[in-house]
Amino acid sequence: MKSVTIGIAEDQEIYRNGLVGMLNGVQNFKVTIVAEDGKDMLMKLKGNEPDVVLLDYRMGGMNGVDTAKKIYRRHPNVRVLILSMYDAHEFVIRAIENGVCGYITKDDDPKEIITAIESVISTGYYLNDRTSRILITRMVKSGQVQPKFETEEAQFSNIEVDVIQLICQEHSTYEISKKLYKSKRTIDGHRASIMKKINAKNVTGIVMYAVKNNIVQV
Amino acid sequence: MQEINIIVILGTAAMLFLAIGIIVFIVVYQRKMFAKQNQISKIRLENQEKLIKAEIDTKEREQRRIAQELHDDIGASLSSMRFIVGKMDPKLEGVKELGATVSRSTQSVRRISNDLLPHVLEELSIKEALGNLVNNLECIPIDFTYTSDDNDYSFLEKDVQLAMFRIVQELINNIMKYAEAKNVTINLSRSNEGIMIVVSDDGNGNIPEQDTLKHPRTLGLKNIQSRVQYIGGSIKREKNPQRGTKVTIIKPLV
Amino acid sequence: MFSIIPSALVGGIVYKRLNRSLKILFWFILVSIVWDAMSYYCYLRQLSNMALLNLYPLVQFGFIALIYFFISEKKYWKISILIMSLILYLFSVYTIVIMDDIMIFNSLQRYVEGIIVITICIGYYVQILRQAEYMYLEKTPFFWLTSGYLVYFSGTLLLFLFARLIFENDPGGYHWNIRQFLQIGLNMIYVVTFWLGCKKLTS
Repeated sequence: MKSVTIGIAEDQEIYRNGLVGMLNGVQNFKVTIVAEDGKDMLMKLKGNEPDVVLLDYRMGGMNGVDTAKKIYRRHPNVRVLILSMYDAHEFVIRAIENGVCGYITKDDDPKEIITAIESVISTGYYLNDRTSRILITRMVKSGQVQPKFETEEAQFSNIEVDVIQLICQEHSTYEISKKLYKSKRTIDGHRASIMKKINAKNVTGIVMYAVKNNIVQV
Repeated sequence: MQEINIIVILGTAAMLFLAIGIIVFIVVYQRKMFAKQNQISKIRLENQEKLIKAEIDTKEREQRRIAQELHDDIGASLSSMRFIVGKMDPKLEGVKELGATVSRSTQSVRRISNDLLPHVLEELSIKEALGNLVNNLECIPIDFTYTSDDNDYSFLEKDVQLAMFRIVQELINNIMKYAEAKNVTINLSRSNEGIMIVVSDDGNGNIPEQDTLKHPRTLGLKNIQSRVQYIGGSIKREKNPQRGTKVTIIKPLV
Repeated sequence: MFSIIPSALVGGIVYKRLNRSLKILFWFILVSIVWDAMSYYCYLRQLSNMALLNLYPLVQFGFIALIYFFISEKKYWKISILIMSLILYLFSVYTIVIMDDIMIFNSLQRYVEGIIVITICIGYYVQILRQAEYMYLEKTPFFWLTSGYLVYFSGTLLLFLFARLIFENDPGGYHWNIRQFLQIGLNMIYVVTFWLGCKKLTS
């Protein structure tokens, strides 16, 4: 069985050592990169991509989310998990928005880190109860502003309205699929169906229709 | 008789001349006095502003230092203790309790350091920080609604953002203490005038606006005032048409 | 004599927006008009209006003292005005009842009234100089009013002092024109005062 390679960026030495020690103690796990901050991590990633990277949010050089964004762009195969002291909603959302696959806080049981890595390897993401709740709350809240589409010519399902709104916010299909917990293919299907309903040829058409019919607020 | 006429005419002319002389003197002298007084009060005001700025800067810098050390040093040490506890045999006596205690301590450290220096504000911006502030108030029987526009606020200096955050914190405190409100809305937006925060409640409108004998300095009104000065902004209080109070804070952008 | 009408009209129009002192000024003007009308009536009926003429300063000073009494919140100011009023009234009683007849023009009383009003005016100036709170004095109504009184009473001071001598030699002559001229000037100042007084409160 192929072992799971892990990269760690954490600026507090004492915590970093503890984490490396624990992860190396797990069967199949192997820590291949240990970095002091985001910049260090990006440098060490070249030619040595691990399966999963754990990033602290708050780091001296470059913070976790900025690093995650760069990793997402430069090394699309590397899955990123944020491991932070912070537990505020805003951080979780900011992290997810920047292509992070999971968010764990440091006061959770350390065993959860192992669970998270395993989950990321097998399913591509890791959401614990807290993260899920944060994301669902946010979706419900943003859904409170219900657009008036019943009176329009074209009828959209709720999921299609979400997709339209996200497209208008310049999100890629991948981002939309992440936000809505659907596969990329499902989102593509929704997009095709929307375009067919309003007779649009491309994304610009969808945006224009949405703006005109008040589905999004500009 | 002729003499009396001359005396009366000349005397009256002299008196009139004197009276007009006095009036002219008063006008000129007053203007000079006013200009001087104006300058003095301007200098005094400038000094006062500098003093307030220094006071706030010192206080926030000290708080920031403590918050960061708490978070980085003690927080990291406590978190790493979790690994040590994890290695211990859970069947041993007290290991579970130890784990729970460490976890609780980590949370306390996080809470205290967040009170001293809001993490969200430090890492993100005032826009997210106000959202976080409102989120954390969820257990209070007042319905808070926070809205903001799509602008990015991270270009503002952190000190300014922090001062604005503290003003809102203080306003919310006062609303909870005095207003008996059910709904509070907070809005952050950017316009031609600058950055604008509007805090509006539907309470009884009885929020004291000045330190009085009844509410001597406990209100943090001084805090609000000095921070408004600090950001070089303005604050306006007005009664809502139906019920409650609306406070608008504007920070002009140069 | 009719020059006082515009000030009464302006004062009446803006009356609601005036402060207490200016409201008193308005009533003072109304009373003056009535007084003048009564004098004129006496003159037409060939009656002596000397009693009215001699009592007018008491009424006039009463109003002026009231106006300035309410201008300032300072205690020593109010007390000074009360003391000066008392002096004038006692002196008037003395001159009218004991020294002279009410039917003879009381020039000494007018002279003392003039001096006291001038004193009040100068006292008011000193006060605004100490406060230094107005940037433009020419925009404050009371500065205009005070200046008007200062000029009027300074100008008429000697006229009244020598009034008896002048009357005996040249009744209704040129010097009376000086007084008329000053009166017209004062009436115009009243208009300015009311105008500024109502603007100040609205702005």
